[in-house]
Amino acid sequence: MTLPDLQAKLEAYLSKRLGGRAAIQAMKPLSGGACQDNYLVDLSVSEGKEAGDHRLVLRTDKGGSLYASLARADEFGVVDLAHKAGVKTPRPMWLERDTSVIGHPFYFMERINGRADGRFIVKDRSIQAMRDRLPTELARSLFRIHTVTPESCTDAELKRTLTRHEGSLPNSVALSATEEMRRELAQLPDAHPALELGLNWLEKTAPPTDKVVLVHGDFRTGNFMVTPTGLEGVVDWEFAHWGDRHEDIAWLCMRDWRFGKISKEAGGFAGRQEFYDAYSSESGIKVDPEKVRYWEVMGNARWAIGSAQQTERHLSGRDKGIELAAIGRRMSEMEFEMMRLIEDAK
Amino acid sequence: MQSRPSAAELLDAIQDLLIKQILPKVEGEGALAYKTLVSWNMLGVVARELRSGEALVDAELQRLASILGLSLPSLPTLNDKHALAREWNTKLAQRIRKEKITDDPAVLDHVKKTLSETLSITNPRFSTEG
Repeated sequence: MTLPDLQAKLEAYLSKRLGGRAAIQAMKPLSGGACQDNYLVDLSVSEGKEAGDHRLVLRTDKGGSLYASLARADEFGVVDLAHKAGVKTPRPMWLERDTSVIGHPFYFMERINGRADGRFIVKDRSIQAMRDRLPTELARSLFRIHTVTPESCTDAELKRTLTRHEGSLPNSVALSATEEMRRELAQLPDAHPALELGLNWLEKTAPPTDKVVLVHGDFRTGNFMVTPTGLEGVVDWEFAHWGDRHEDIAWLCMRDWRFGKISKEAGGFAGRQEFYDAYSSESGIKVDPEKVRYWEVMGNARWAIGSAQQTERHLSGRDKGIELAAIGRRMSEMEFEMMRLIEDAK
Repeated sequence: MQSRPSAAELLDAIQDLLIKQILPKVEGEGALAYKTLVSWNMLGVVARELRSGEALVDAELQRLASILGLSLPSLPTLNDKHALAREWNTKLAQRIRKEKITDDPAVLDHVKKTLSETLSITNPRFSTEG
C-alpha cells in the first residue's frame, strides 16, 4: 500500500468512526524497527466529539514478530492500563482490530515532544539539569507501571496474554523466565556454553517475586522521551508482561544500554543506588539489590539470545542488513557481563 | 598467489575510506551514518580475526580437549578447526546442561577465557578486567 492509499483509507475510516470529516494534513513514516510500522499523523476533524486538530502517531504492524512481542491490540490494552495508572506515556486512542481497514490492526496515540536517542540523553551538556531529575521522574513512572496488577486487569483475554509464567511457587516467575530462555537457546544454531552456565545459575538461585505486577519489559534509555524540562513519556510497550518489578529495574541498569557512560550504571544517566533510592522513595518499597542482580543476569542472557536471533534474521534472508549482521558479534559482551555479575554474586 | 596487500591490509584500506571520506558525506543522514560506522567497526573485527583468530581457535581447542578428555586430531585447515570447535562446544554445552554445572573451575575458567579472547577480536575496548 502506498502512503497516499493508506492516508485515504484512514481518512475514510476516521470520518466514519469520529462522526465528522477527517482530513490528514500531513503523514510521515517513522522508523519503527523489525515489526512495527509507525507514522506521524496531523489530523483535522470537522465536527463531532473529536472536532479540532490532533497531533498523533499511528501504530501498526509490518508483519513478522520477535518472540514474546505483543500484537498491537494487546499493546493498546497495556498502554491504556498504564496511562490510567498515571504513568507518563502517550495517551492511546481509537483502537481498530479489524484487519480489513489497512491490513493490520492499528491505533493512534497522542504525539509527545522530546527525544529518545540514548547518546543525546546521557551525554548532552545542555540537559544536565534534566538528567539530575531523571531518576526521580523515571522511578515515579516505573512505580506506577508496577501498580498495575493481574488482579486489577478486568480484560480476561489481555490478562492471559500478558501471563508468561506458570506455577504458583514464590519463585515461579523467575523459574518460568529461565525455562523460556532455555527454550529459546535450544533453537539457536550454535552451542553457547556460557549461556548454559548462566541458565543453570538462574535456575539454581531463582528468588521469590514479592508481587506479580505489570513489567514494561524494555524499560531502558532509548525507550523514554525527554525534553530539557524533563521526562515526556515512556514508550515501546511491546514486551510488557506480568512479572517481577526487579526485572524492569535491572534492565534499566544493564551495561549495554548505557550509551558510553559505563560508570553511570542506571541507564547511563545516574548511579544505580541513586535509582534504587528514587524507586524506594516513590514506592515505599525497598529495592532488593540481590534480586536486581539476579534479573540483570537474566537480562543479559535474554539480550544475548535476542542478539543471536536478530543476526539469524539477517542470515536467513528475512531481514538483511549490516546492523542485524553485526549484532551477532556482540553476543560475547552480554555473555561476559552475565558471567561477571554471577561471579560478583558469590 | 598474490599477497600484497594482505587480506587484513585491504580491510584497513577500506576502513580508512569509510571513516575519512564516506562518513563525512553521510553524517547528516542518521541511519546511513550509523550503518557506515557499524560497517567500519565490522571491518576491524574481520581484520583482527584474520590476524589472530587462528591462534585463538587453537588455544580454545587445546582447552576443550583437556576438559572433554579428548585428543586433538590433525587439522589441516582453519575451516577444519572451526568445525571441530563447533562440535566440541556442542559436547561441552550438553555436559553443562546435563550435569547442571555452575561451579566447575576448569569449565568456568575455559568459558571466561574464551569470552575474553573473543572480545579481543570483536571489541578490544570492552574491559575484561576486574
